Amino acid sequence: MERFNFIFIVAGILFFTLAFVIMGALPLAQYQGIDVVSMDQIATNIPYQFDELARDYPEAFEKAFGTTEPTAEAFKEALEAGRQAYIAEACWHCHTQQIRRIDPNDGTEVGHDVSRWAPDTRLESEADEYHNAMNYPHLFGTRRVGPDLIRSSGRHSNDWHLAHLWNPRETSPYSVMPPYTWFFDDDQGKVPNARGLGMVTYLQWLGSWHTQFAPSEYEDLPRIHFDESWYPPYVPPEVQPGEDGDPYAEEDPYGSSEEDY
Amino acid sequence: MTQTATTPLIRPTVVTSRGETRVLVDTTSAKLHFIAAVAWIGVGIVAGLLYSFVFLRLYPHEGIEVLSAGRIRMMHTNLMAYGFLTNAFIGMLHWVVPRLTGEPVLSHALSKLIWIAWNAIVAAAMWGILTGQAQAIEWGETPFWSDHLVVVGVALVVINFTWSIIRSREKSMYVTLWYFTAAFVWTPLVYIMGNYLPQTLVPGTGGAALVGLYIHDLVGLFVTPMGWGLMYFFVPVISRKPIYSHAISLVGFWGLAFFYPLNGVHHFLWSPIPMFAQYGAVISTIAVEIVVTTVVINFVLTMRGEWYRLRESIALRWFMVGMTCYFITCFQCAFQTTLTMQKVIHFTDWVVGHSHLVMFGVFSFWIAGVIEHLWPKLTGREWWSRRLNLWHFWLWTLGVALMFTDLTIIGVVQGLLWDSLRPWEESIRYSEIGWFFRMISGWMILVGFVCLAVNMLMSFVSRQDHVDTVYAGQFPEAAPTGVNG
Repeated sequence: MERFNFIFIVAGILFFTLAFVIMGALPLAQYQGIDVVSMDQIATNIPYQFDELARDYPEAFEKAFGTTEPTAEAFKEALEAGRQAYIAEACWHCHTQQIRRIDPNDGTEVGHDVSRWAPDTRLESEADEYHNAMNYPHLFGTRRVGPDLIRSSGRHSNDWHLAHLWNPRETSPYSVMPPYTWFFDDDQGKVPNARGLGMVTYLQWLGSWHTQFAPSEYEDLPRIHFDESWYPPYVPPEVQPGEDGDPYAEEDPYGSSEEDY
Repeated sequence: MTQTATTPLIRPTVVTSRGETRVLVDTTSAKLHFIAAVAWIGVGIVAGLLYSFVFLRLYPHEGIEVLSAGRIRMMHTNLMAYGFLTNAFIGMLHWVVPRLTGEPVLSHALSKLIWIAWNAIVAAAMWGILTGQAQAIEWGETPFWSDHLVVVGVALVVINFTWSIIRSREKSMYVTLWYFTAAFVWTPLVYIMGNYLPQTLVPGTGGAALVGLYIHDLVGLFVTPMGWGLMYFFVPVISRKPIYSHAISLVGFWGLAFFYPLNGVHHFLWSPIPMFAQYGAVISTIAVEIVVTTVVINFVLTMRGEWYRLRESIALRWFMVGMTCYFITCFQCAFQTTLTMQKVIHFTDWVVGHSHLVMFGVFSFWIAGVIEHLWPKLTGREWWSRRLNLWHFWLWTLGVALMFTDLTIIGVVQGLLWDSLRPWEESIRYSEIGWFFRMISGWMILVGFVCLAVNMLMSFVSRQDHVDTVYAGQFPEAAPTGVNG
């Protein structure tokens, strides 16, 4: 029992494999047969903020992506640059990308995630949001010093993001985020480089599938369905439609509603 | 002259049998690894301290790209794992394994090569992190290209030491070697699973389940077995008493081996990972904490009647303070992993306090004890100053106590403020006082480190020879006369 071979095989190989199967392979089996959304598919739904970037910073845009048009190719390049910068600066160590399945803020439960981070759609994070080419590996994060970012699309304008990256305390007076001056080519924070433009593109892309996809386009994307009986009961409250039937009609798309999230 | 289940059979560093003299312990490699470990932890502590400045909006390195806050944060954790802990563990293995098995490692030349290669890998990986080539896997932020090198390095270490264990002619293995054997299997498996699958094959939520396993297994299946192995060796040796119970060490080992690998998903509770995995992780986490607590009890009972030794032996003090921290950690684990607690404390500084208590308060303290015990034996020089060693001990002990208490409190404050749906920045402003005291504890830890480093250096250059304690008669059936711990 206490010999090398027994410990090597049973404790080392067998128990590890058992855990890998239960905790790794079984969850993975839920996604069997579901295609990973490719960069090309992602680039079929370009957020309007990307067009704005091309329009507002034509020279920087051309220098970064070799074109002045907000093409799908440029969008893919910008997303990739933004994700690379996001990982290189370890943004994910202070900003999470998951709205946990807790909330409902109805006075009986402790929890806050949905109310705070998805007050409009009231949708918590689902597995299909992460089942794409931008999540090798996932960026869930484990510490939340700053706001959650999985629904950051449209929460602020492009200019807000660039000002915030140049000096966070210009937009958020109490922020402890360090400035990222190397996302800009000049010394005044007016000319973003590829990383700056990419970062804004990435932040405006996160969650854009909930706020900007036309219903038909959204339904075309592969979705993952779980057996809901696994989860605690959760009933999303009804969203009151605006006057013209669009629940988001009253929101300024440029993000003037800058409440403290 | 056989070893019993509760006492290690300890051979001298050089044995002579049948007229043949064999060098069992490669003391040079052990010494080099401890030197590297202490050098890396110095850099790592400075990185952590710089990161704590960022939270107070004091930017000593504002606008310097390579010292960006996120990058020094990644450098801090990865240096501790791969620079400090790994180097110290390899040094400790050099001292322990050949003396328990009676066989030297595969090759002393390979040991030197491993030292050079491993530290070159760590340096290259740090360069990669600082120049923005990091990988987004917690505890594995080393650039993807360096992962291949790490796998080769780990394989060499495993081969080098497993050779010694396999060739041993002992009838049964002492408990330390069970832990080491298991760790030699687990470490490469864990590293390959965590660094390769989520990066290349498994995106999103499925990858998160694997990363959860990786985060947890790196602590549980590499650091913990190494730590327990060294405790089972050094505590009996220094306190000169056999381990209290062989049965409890069996429970501890097999409980750890079975339950610990199942825990990983508890890092992502309430996430989109399927709930059956989350429930399973919570239950097995509670199970493993119960098991681990029994091991703590084993050591406390081993020390029964010997506590007065803490007055004379600073090494034993390190071990026992680490043990206390371990008990607190385990006790905390068992309830903080519940889904109810996670609603409040997940994502807060509570978790940061917890991880510092484990990685620093437990494992770094045990390594500090090993350094305290071994440095004179490896260099042949007496410690330069006992007073400096005491300063080191008290600064680190009080430093980690302050950091843990402080971060735990502001973790709860943050969680409840978020829950109350107050504006986000309010939680930042209420945290500032806590982040200030964290910086103070960082300073204490840095000064404690300077005490250690200066003392090691001065002992090395001083001329006061170390007189080895002789363990004659302490383990009558196990330890031959003239063998030191």
